[in-house]
Amino acid sequence: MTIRLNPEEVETLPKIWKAFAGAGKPMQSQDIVPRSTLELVNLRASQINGCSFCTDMHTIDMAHAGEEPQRIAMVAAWREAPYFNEAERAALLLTEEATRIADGDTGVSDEVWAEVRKHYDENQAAILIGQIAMINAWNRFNVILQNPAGNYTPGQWG
Amino acid sequence: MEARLKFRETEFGMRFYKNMLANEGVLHHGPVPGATLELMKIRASQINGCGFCTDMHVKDAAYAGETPERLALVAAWREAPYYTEAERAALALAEEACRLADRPDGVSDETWDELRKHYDDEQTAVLVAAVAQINAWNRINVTLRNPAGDYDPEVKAKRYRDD
Repeated sequence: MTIRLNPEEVETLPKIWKAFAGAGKPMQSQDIVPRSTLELVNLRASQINGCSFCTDMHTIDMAHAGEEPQRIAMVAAWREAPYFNEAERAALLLTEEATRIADGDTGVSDEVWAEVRKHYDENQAAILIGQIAMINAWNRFNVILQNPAGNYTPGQWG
Repeated sequence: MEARLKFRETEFGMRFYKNMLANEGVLHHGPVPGATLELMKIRASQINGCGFCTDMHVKDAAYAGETPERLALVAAWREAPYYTEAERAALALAEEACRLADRPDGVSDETWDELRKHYDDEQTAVLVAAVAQINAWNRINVTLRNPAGDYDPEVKAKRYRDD
């Protein structure tokens, strides 16, 4: 498996990635929403989008940060799992609906939004939306480019 | 969280469950590697959002010695380096056979041909049955909202040893 455009040969690609990484900084640098919640968001979106590169990266990051193996394993089917608190469940709901907005889906429902706002204030909700938007963008890069998974080292991308 | 119905405590459920478990025994002792069957069961359970079955099969796979990387990447296996060609063919079958709803072609010829490159008739029969069986379990446990978390893989390991 090889990536469809090689970032070492296509100089525009690393420039675009750097700009996108910059856009992700506000979510990373402030501890407004727990890092572990943002990683659940990253993982669930990457699973729905079938993004191997991002799924590999974020499961490795989660394990590196000390996340429980069964919590990592159960993100794809979290609803009946006892491993996630109510705030995390609200973030996962938002992630699923906000990721599945293609043709015919109804976007984010009032029920899900109300559930999100029970657990997150305006700034926290903004962070969640930013994180979901960014991971969906990264999923697109890596799925379109068929970027192979398997070589990620924690912290490699800052 | 509590299941909507104590299915196994109904008279019907008890008999039905016994037959389903007999099917599981036939699958388990068949000619397809257990690790391949677990990958298919995990992938189907993820697609169907079945917490109970995902919890069970992740634990069963880990108990049987599956690696964390392979477990973590089942939901996004295509660009992952952790699976053999035969396992990839089985995962492709599992995905298409799960997502049958309103799709005219069901399982595509491409997926079927790839499958048949790696599995003989007996093995293919097991794979087809395994996908059908896990989808049946997924429907039961999702419909009942059967809570995950309490599954102990030793119970099943013992049952298969005693078969």
